[in-house]
Amino acid sequence: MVYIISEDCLHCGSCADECQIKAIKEEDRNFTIDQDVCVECGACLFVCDVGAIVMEQ
Amino acid sequence: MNIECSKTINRQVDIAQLKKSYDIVIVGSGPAGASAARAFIGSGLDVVIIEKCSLKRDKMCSGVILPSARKYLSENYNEIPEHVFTEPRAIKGSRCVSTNDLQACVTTCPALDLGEALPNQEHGFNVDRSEFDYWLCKESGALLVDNCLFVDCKHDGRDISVRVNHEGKYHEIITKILIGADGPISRVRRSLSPELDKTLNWIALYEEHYEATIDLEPGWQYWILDPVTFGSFTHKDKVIHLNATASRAETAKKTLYRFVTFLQERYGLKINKTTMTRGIVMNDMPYRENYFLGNGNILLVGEAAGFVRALDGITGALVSGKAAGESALKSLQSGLSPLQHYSEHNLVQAEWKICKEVQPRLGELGFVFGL
Repeated sequence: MVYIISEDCLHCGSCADECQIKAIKEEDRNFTIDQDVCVECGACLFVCDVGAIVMEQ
Repeated sequence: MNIECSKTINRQVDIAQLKKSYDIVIVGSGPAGASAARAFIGSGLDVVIIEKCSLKRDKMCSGVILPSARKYLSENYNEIPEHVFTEPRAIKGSRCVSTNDLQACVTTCPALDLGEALPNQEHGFNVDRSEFDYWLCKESGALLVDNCLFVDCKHDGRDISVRVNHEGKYHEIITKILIGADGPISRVRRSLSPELDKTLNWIALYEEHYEATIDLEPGWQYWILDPVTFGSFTHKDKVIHLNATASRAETAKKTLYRFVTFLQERYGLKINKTTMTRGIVMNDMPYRENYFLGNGNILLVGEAAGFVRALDGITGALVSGKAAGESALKSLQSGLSPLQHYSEHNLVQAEWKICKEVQPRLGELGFVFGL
């Protein structure tokens, strides 16, 4: 299972602020989750107001 | 110990039933929040626990109730119900294996518990952590609202206005006393002191569960010693829980996969299916003795406050939760602030001392905070 940021993302950056181990990278306001660094703690899920962070098998 | 309220039926309610004000609002439904709530049994106060996850919620943890937590539970709770246990029920102690020396034998350690005065030859309980936490909450008798994220709070000197989010909608709850039991990435703590959070250093831990077999006896907590980091695994029913800690040299996931290879080659690990993946992050608050108990009528407990006995967050959570609950009650009688009673509480003073004593053992295992 992995977390990904879907196209519903509004590029607000709140998920990146929440991730304490800097697994969410930003480039030109596009946010992606580094799957190697992410440990699936779920912290980012709860701060996304539009539910853009989803779990994938 | 028999407490009438333990027979409480499930008081979990939907957000629609949430009232506009409560005497006590507790953020987080883990052992710290549940323990704090339990202190209010029989007080007549209106207490609600809000939880951001859907209950019963899973959490990365070895699910071993160490002797110090067992002792606390036996003195403060009814017996743990059968459905909370996993097999084998008893964890006899710790054993170590080493990635550095493939010829090394499995070493049996003298103690399981990192918290109390050693040697401690008592066994631990092997539990399902989601069932355990949910049972603790039910034992508290408090109202429980899940899928409810604490956003922030404002304190006007008299009341605290708590803003929560449920499925994208914001709600306000007014309370006299707020208890933040919301773990290492505590939003209550950040709401109180954003500057403190910026000073914290973090470390990641990652865990996978396998339907698997391994040529090692169940009933032990196995530690994997490694030149750069460490991990651990336990048998729980027919599943093996394996976790690894990140280091500056390697991410937690990479370390875990390296440990899988090690266990396959050295101890015949055979994985049929991966049933769960998840992780947590921890900060260095206890490691730097950087505890933060809260402010005025807002108290922090458990990992939110920095109470972790090395890798055991459960005992510190239970103890500090109880101390905060009792302090809040006392403040309503004395007129002094809850924080004043909490910071002077003998359980808090004792817990600080234990946390301080055990932290260096993490360093010995290669635990390094920061990215």
